[in-house]
Amino acid sequence: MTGAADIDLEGPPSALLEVRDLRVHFKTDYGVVKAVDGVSWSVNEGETLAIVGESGSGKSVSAMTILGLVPSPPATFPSGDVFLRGRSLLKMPEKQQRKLRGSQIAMIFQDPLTALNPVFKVGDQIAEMVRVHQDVSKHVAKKRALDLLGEVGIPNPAVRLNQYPHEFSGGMRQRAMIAMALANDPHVLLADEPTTALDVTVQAQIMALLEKLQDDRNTAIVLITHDLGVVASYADRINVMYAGRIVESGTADEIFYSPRHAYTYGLLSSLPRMDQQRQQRLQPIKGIPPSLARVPQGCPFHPRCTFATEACLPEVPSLVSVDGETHRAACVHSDRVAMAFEDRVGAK
Amino acid sequence: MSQASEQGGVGTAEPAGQPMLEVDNLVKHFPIRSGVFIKRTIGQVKAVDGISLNVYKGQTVALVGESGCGKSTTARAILRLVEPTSGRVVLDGVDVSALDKQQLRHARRDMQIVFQDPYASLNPRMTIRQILSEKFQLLGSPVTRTTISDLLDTVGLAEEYADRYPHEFSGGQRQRIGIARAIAMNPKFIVLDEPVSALDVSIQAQVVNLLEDLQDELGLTYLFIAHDLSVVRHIADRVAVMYLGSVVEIADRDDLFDRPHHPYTQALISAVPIPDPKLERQRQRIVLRGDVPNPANPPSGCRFRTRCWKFEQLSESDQRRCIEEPPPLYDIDAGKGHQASCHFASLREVVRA
Repeated sequence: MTGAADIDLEGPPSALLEVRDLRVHFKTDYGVVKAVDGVSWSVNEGETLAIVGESGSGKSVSAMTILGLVPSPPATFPSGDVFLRGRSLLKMPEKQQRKLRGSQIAMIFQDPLTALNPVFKVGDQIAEMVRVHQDVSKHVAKKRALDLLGEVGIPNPAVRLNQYPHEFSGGMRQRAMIAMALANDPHVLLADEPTTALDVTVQAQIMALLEKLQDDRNTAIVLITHDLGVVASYADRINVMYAGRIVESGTADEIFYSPRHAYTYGLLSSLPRMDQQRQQRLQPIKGIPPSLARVPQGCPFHPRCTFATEACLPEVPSLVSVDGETHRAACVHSDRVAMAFEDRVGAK
Repeated sequence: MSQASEQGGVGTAEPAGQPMLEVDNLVKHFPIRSGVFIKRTIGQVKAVDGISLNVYKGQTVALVGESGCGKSTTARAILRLVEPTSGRVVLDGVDVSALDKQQLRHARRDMQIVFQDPYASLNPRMTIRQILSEKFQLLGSPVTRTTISDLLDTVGLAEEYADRYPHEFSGGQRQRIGIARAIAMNPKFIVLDEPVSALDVSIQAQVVNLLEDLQDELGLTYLFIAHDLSVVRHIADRVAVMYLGSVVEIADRDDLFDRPHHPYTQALISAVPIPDPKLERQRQRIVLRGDVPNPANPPSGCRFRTRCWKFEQLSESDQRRCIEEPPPLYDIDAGKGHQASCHFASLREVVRA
């Protein structure tokens, strides 16, 4: 675990992958949708960074932007940059960007059935990935695809190589996706809800596979998910997103044992726990997440927040250190949140 | 499995008296047909293969398992939304499986369902008032001026929403409308088919609380279909774990989570990550091999044996028993109605270890 949470926005980028003050806006008939609105984070070799948030919090859009998968128009990028080993990705010529995407940075999507092409054999799709980035013969690429399928734990890889995606089960398809992502030994793996569509026993298989691959290759993993259980088990550091911004970031222990943002506190309190005898009642967060075209003034969470006061209204709170080097929160009432959390834990 | 259900499947230590819902040896097989002009049946998908369970009044029984285990088909067969192949379903003394079409329509008053996907289960061309009124019209009950607004109030929605269309609502609100529709006729029994799976965490808790409040106020009996074991631990009184069309373990909630005996239940619980990093660092995950087998061609003997972690540790003669002899539901704790269908069932703690 490396403490790269504090991002120096002025100095030269030092982390493996660094996102700085990224803004991704969409112009729509209903106004400007600020899907990502000033987000900064970084990740290093061998580290797992989780980006947690509910639907519409902007967690996927930031990852898609890194890979250049957000079309512009309709998207605009009012500010921000992405650095891979200190080199700006967004300012690079398109041709160079394409070289890095898929080789140095690869992505695993939530739904492997729509991400795989149904009319090509799985082996050919993986081999294509190899040949796009490496100057090798078809035969060598196919051999590499065979090795990759074996490495991700697909039984009978020689047979599976010549099958189509529909002949694979959900877990097998996700393994094939991972094989494809690994085809060029990427340094960074962006995993967008990699197990959400899968059953828990299969989720355990896939996450164990990702952990093993990370250990073997020292890959950095950016894990985008809404599942706080998965985050607690696999993440080193966590960014909590709400309405297009990071509202709290810290190590897994900091986020789960001493949350300092009212939203994080609300999320943790609303979770039913499988390891605890029944609580009286769940404590939901009231209301619903805001539309990103009409984010509330001031702290975007204040209309749903039990801690909110007038102090939350004038401006968006900035992400500041709360305790320790790595722990940051964008909440005016972070001290009250900390106290409330301690009371709640103490009461149990 | 069927030989065990006679004595076994119905066992429970819960309240004495007649159960609200009795399911006895329910079977649903789907034919696999082949051929171009003359369709011939070439096999059967055994989606539900002899399920027995009781649900008492005011109780919540959860049916859990992974996709394709038959939990949703079981629920639909109970309500006769799909015709069961065989078996008996008795709701509050009425044998639902013997009713003719007319009687069944009448009986539907008492048994309702809330679907998983609130986006797909509400007609986009009807207002909320129309959706809810339709229910009363179909079953021949009058709708007074306050009926709909009272109903909306019960599920925590404002009256002025009545004349809006489904697309104007968020997922959580739509699920409230689905619940309003289910409770409209004062049913005795409701199937909740993954009612919170499509919702965000912060909204999920709102809907879970609503379901619990309604159960208390209206004395409802729930069959809760779910794959999320954290929600199940919170909401259920009893839990039945399904694998490939059969119940492999059934117990009271805390018994099932704290004292699971079937290797599949143990693997399932151990695979669920808990939002507690320190606990997760010390927990050992049972990682199963492979995928769920094809239900058209299930393994002989114990259906779980092809993925079972315990099977690998058994002696050859014990393994033969798993291959040849389908395990009945054995009593683990007869007093509490805890049963597991494994020849070699034994306790393994998996939540905190």
